[in-house]
Amino acid sequence: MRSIRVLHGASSNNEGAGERFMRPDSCPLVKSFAGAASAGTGLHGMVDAWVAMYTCDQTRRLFQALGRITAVDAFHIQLPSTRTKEAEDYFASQVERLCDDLVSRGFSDGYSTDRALAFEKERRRAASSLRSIAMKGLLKPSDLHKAFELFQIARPGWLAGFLETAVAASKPWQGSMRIAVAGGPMAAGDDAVPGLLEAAGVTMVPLGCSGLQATLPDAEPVDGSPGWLAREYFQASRCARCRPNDQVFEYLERTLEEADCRGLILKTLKFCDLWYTERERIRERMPVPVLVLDTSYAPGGRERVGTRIEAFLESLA
Amino acid sequence: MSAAKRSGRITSSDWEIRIRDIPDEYRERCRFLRKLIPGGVEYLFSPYEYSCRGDTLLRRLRFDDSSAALRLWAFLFSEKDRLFLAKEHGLKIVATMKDLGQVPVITYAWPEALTFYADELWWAPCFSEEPHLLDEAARLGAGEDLCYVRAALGAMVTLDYFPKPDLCIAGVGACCDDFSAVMQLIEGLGIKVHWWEMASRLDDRSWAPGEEFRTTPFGGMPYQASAARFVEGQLRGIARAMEEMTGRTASESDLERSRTMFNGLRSRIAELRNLVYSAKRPPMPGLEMLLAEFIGIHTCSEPDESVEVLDDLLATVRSRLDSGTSPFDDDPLRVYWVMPPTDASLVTQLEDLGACVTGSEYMITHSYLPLAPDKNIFAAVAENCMDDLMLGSAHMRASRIAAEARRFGAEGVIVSSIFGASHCPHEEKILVEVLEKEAGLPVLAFDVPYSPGRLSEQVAGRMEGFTEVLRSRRAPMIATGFAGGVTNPSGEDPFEYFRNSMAVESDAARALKRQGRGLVGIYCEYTPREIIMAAGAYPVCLCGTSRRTIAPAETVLPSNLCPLIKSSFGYILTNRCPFFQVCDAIVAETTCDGKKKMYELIADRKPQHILELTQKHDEDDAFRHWMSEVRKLASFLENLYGVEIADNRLRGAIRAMNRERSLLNTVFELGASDPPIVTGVETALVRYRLAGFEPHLEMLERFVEKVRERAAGGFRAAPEGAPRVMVTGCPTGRDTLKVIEIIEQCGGIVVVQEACSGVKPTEALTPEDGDPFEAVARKHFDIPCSCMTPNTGRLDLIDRLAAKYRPDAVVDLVWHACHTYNIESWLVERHIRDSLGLSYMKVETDYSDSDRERLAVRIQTMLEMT
Repeated sequence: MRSIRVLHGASSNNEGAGERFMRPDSCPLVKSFAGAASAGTGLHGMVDAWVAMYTCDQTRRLFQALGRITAVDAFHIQLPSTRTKEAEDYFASQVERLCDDLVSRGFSDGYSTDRALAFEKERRRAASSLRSIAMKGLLKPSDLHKAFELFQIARPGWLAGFLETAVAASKPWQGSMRIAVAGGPMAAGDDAVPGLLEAAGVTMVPLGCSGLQATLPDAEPVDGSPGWLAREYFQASRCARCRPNDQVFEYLERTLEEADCRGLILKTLKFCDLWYTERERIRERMPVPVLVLDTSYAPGGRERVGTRIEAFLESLA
Repeated sequence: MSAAKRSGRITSSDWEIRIRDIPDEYRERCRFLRKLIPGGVEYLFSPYEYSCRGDTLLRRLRFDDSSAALRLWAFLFSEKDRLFLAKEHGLKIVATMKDLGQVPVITYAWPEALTFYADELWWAPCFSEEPHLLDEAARLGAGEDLCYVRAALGAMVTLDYFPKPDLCIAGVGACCDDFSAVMQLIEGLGIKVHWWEMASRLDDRSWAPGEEFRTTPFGGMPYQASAARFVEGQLRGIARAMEEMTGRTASESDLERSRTMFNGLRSRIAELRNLVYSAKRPPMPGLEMLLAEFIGIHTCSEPDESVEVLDDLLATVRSRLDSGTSPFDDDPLRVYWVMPPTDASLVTQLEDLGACVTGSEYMITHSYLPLAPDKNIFAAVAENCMDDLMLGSAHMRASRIAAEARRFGAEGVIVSSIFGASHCPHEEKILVEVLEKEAGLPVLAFDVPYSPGRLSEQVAGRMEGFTEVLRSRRAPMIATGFAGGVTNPSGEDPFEYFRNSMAVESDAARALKRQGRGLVGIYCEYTPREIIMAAGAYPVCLCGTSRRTIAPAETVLPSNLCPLIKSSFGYILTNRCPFFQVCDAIVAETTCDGKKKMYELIADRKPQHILELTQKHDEDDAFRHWMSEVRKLASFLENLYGVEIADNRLRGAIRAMNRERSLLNTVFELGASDPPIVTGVETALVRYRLAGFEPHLEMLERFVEKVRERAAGGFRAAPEGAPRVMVTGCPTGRDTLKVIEIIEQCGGIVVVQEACSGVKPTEALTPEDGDPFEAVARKHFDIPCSCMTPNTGRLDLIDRLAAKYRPDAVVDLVWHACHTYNIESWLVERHIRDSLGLSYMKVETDYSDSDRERLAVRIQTMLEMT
């Protein structure tokens, strides 16, 4: 059984198709998912079963209505927002139950701790490699964005080698400055910001859950049991949805310094209350200037975003 | 107005006077914080007095006129005082957010703390009718993209609604993102926050097959045992937070006392809902019920007094049920309301429109269910959490709402969403779909706008339209036989029938669609109904005849436009036209410029066929072009319905329409009688929208019979010598008979209407021999409307009608901004005065009633001089 994170299909077409199931004033990523899943296009059409993990309220409601959108089986778990031991235990118990469910429903012949541990080690090796590439700014922004896309879906053992080859074969990218991008996930297809940063000749350091955050946890794994892994990933979460979410600010501050970034673009998805409402606090606490971009996948917004990024970069120069 | 007993819905000014009559001993009972402050604090003041403290919306609401209701309002609006006084007297203040009924059960085990719902502040901007809390929240990053709960953030800054809380208990997890975001910003202000998590409920066991599922004992809701265990742990965490704050551990008896008290509140609310919503005439208005329901979750910061307030309300309700008293008329429209409206004046508006709230789902249904007595309090509250409909899927929620709406006999459902709330965009479609399909109920869904100082025109218009739809659905269905064999309730009065024909037709249109029949909307007599009927569909006229849809239309259309066009467009814009909703297509004829351009604005709503009317009546080329347009219409309908409009089908349709026109002509010819045996209003009301509908034709025959019977019995429609009046010009409709009514109120009698709403389209039948397409085209091309040029046919028609109906005077009705009829009136006047020697008056007006008096003076004068 192969598991992938489907962060694909971000397009205004899919958004529009998703609006059959929800009003337009919903998260574009959620709408795109609904549109792509109902049409069965791309990766969405290749999935045999979904693990529907409730993170924010909009994903929860999307997944609760998934049966109206697609006939593909779905297993539901909740990622708690609170950061307590009880919440961690609850998450771990759900993940353990999920593994049993996948076996009982015939999607797997059994959970193997050794197999899981081996996979996790490979994954973290690939993550480490990707992290190093990102922190050193070795790839141009659009290629880095694609590399993170691959991280979500490719076999990790293959990916580490591929990344080394890709970097070696590419012309080294020398951005004039480093700009961090944080906020909501940047799905495949949501490439306006990487493209614009590349056109401006800067290095992108993606900090969100579709970027460097996805490379956490980064310590060498020692246990392949579902509970242990669940706890590792629970503790590594640095999302604005966490309550309280101080760790997000600490993570951003620390990584901005490590990566030597001159500025931060807070790229939020329209109607994402969780990130967008944090913009003032992020502006106050970050040690670098912050540009807030509230975006959807509509192609018409690209010009406006481009102008704002240009002005932002000029102010940093 | 029926003889049924009425209590009343009164204004805040009314209460200002009536409150003086409330006995002192009753006032003495209305006190809060008795345990803290000797003698307690009086709170029974009038809504007006509370409005002077800033909640000015109270001046626009209507209140139940019982003292129990006054007490309820005063208790709610005095919460602010309670909280500040409690703080001054050393109580801890706990703000709880998002949990909707669980946390206070735990926290009230500590009597040294007073718990209130910071979420309630979401009503504050609407009640205060000014946005200072929202502005404060925006400054901190919580802007318009969040729901009104952001006012709680603003209130945490201004601290004018409550003192700074000692603890804020914030529920996250299965909750709205906007709430979560606001609560995080509140923590950012430095307020101590205890976070706890609500587990999501999985409504489908296949989503977690390995999970152990149980069922809640009172709500019957399946839930995961692990979720309840997790929440139980979270609630124990809240207790630990309370211990830390107060320095005291609550004993088992403290906790039990709290559970008992809340169960008492919950049972009272459940009983109140059941009594009120099950009644045919609810004994309590919707706003009071809304307040009462929410007392159950937050106790308004004083549980003991909450019990007294609810007991008072229950006693009033029981007494009214016994005596048959209600603030509503007989048989109000019954509306189920989903989601609490932030703008309370919407409930007042609904009731002013003749409806009542007959059921509610304000997202707190679990808070009327008992807490199980056989478990520890934490387990019992956790289990009750699982009954919270917001934790699970929208589909489950919608099904529960549908079941309750049916149980309470609702006729329609209102879903008042909030822009910015993360659940509304996802739920609304599902709610509407399930309610319409499972409960078969019409649904009005809208976002409640922030509209301080006045009701939103758009929402008001939509609510009006909605109540009209509900009213129209009440008429008994005419059973079967749309194309042949009809059953009418025997003995039904044809006058009543045609007065209520809108309701009959609206049901018929839906029934047609359910049977898979076609329905095509038309806006003009030039559209050949025969072609539509030959395609197997029913033509329905969509011309707007209500002034209520004009205001919404003027948000898009210019105000200097014909009211018929504005009214028609307004119906579509506000989604109020029951026929448009079910039409398969619209025929958009190019008669006047206004209509032609209006059609462009609705082109994307339904398939539309533009039927070009050539307007040079006397030219052969023009007629040939018109014929080709009629054939194109036929092709459009053939493609739409997958049929062939062969000659024989068209001949059948011609015969059917001729029969209908002949019947209508027979009705109109009753007006020729002298002395008059039928009024102009009675004849005008006979015009209906749905052609080819057998029950109408039967009733036309019955109408004629009844009028003749009536006349044979000596009935006269007007006194002897009453001036006979022909009305020419623009068409009238059900709600736009103003001029005809005034003429007859002033002593005249309208004997014939030359307009499209009268004999103009029916006088000539379609020839039944020759080429049927040509016959249909010619019949319609010959209609003498002012859009044609030259329009000598109209003067010829006036001559024929003058000979037949022998009017003494002619009133030429021109709707504002109708240029063709307006200009043509000069020719008509000249003809009528010079050739016919009749009195003539031109009336230029619109759909409003504001000029009734002026018109009456003019018409009276004309009739006297005739």
